[in-house]
Amino acid sequence: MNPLLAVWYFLEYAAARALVFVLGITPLPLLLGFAELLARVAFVVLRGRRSIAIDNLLQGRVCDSPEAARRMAFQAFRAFTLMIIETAAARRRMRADNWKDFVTLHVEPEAEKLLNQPETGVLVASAHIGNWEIAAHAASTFKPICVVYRPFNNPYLDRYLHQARSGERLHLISRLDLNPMRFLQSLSAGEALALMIDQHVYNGAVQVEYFGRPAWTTKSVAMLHLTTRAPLLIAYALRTGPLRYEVHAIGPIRCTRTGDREKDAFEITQALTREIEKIARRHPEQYMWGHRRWK
Amino acid sequence: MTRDQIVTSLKHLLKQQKQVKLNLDSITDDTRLQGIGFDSLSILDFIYDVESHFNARIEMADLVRMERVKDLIDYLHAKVPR
Repeated sequence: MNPLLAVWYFLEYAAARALVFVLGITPLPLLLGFAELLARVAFVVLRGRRSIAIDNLLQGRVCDSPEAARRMAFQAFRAFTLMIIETAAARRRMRADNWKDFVTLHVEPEAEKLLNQPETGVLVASAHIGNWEIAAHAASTFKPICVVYRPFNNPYLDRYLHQARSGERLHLISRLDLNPMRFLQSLSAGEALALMIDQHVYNGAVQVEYFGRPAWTTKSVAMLHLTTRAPLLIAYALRTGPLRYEVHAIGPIRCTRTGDREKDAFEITQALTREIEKIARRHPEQYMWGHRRWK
Repeated sequence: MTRDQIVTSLKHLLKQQKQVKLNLDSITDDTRLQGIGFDSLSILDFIYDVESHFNARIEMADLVRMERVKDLIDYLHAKVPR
């Protein structure tokens, strides 16, 4: 590694570590004020992300005027900064013995039954709405959960955040992990395997309709379901107040295997995407709109 | 279905996996499944195609235990009607 880059990476890591420590000990009202300030600064400075968010809201017909889209985009920015700051703050505040004080569960009966079967591997599709870190921790109270994540380029930061985001029953698998059997092993061990399905991907994708527009979407969840027959749920956590969340789990999503691989993958991915769209339309202020979803 | 027929069919199915760059001649019974060149998605495509082609269901628990090409061939040989 280039020595200058290594120094830069180390400084980034040190800053992140210090920030997480400070966030952990700062009183909650101060944190919320900081998140608000951060959102305002980000909304001004990150012009590209702001434009993408506003454009996505207009093109998806979530907002009917540029002014409304701008207001909604700011709320989405605020939801994102709150997600980051509250997740850091939650590390010292939420524990295995008190997490129910912070989280209300809304789990459909059939989904709950599946999550409570220790030997059944369960596929969980999720999206960038509310607080996905809290959603993963809440799901880990039912059964061990394995979350697929995109690693940071900075190896120090990646190692630190990997450790910080993991839990006793929550572990992370890098998307770049070379073992092709890793997802199957997780499901076979009776774990929940969680994947985000609302980001643009180039490879291994199918084009589905999302907010009325074609969007390339990973078919990994669909293919895992088709080959393992693991039940397929959708889960997400909505923020209802300062460090307060509603965790929802719906499903299982059912589908028929026809023998046409691409058609089946499309049908399942479209069904999941349709559900994600419904959720995002109900809570647009908590959805991450600043992502170039439609390319 | 004979063992040779299964091998021929598997080679044909492997050829159809556009995402996998492999040299079919280098694959033997002893080749590790993880060494063929699959990634986490292309292996699922392949399993789907194998199940559809042989009209056989590969149980997840059996699949994760398979290490080599030979294990897959033996599994199908035992499952697929002759």
